[in-house]
Amino acid sequence: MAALARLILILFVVLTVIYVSLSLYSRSKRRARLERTWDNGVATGDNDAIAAEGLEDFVTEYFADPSRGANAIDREGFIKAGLADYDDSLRRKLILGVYVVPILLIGTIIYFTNFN
Amino acid sequence: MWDIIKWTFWITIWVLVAAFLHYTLPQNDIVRITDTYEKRVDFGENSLFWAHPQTGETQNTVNRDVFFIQAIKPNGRPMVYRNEDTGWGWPPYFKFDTTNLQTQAADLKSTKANPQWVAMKHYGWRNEFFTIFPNAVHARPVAGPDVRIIPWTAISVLLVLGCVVLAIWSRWRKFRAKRVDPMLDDMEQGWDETSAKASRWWNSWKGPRG
Repeated sequence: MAALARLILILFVVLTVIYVSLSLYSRSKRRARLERTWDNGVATGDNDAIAAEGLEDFVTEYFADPSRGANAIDREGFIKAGLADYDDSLRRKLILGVYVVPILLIGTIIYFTNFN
Repeated sequence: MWDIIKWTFWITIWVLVAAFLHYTLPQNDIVRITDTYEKRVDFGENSLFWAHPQTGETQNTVNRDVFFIQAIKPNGRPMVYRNEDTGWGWPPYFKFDTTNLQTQAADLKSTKANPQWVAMKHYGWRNEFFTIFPNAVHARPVAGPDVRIIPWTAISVLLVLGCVVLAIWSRWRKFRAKRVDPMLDDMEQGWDETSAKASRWWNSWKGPRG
């Protein structure tokens, strides 16, 4: 069982490193998209540019939200709200698949090596 | 001269990588099993090439009994495999059913007159000089010695590895062009300027004749 514990420890460390890197990378890409949406689309009023980044749903929701108040419509607030929206999203939760895939792979290998 | 050193370095690296992959990835041999036996092995200099005791037994012993499978290849030459658990360790075959495999191999024994050909999936090398044996992973009966077996596992592992290497390499190249090369150019320029200043200072001491 010591060998199993060692394998689990190594897998956990490596997968956590991969998960954290992937998570940060994904979040930074979303931030860049939000910045581009604001700079090219919202600030200039160009709806095609907003559509090009694919975040129209969030943009309409953000500007329609009455609780924001007229003074809250600024670049920082927009990006902050966009990232909060991303934090709750399915896409972010899917990155946890990084832990699931190797376990499934090991299970498959065990099946084919020992029981087939 | 630096080119030769660079080439030698990279070729050595790739040869080592290729050797490692050739050792670790599974291969299929078609053989005729003649006998199976168990022998006490005392691990010495070649202990790197042996695997693990059965899962659940005492690990890291200096010697233990190891299963072997003797076989003859279609060209008449012998090939001997060992049959050991890899358990949760390296290589990641997660092989726990060594004793079962030994039983199956014993069941597939045959004679020269009435051969039963077996596809022996294994990894590792056979080297008489170091007394190392490939580790048998799976044995299944096949119709004859000329059956064609496609190594799907090895192919898929190599493809995935190739994609990973390509991804890393292309990103490294872009990173290098964007960040490292301009910095190196700046450094070189700075060095040239400093060196020119030093020359002028030195020449100022040497006087008009120097």
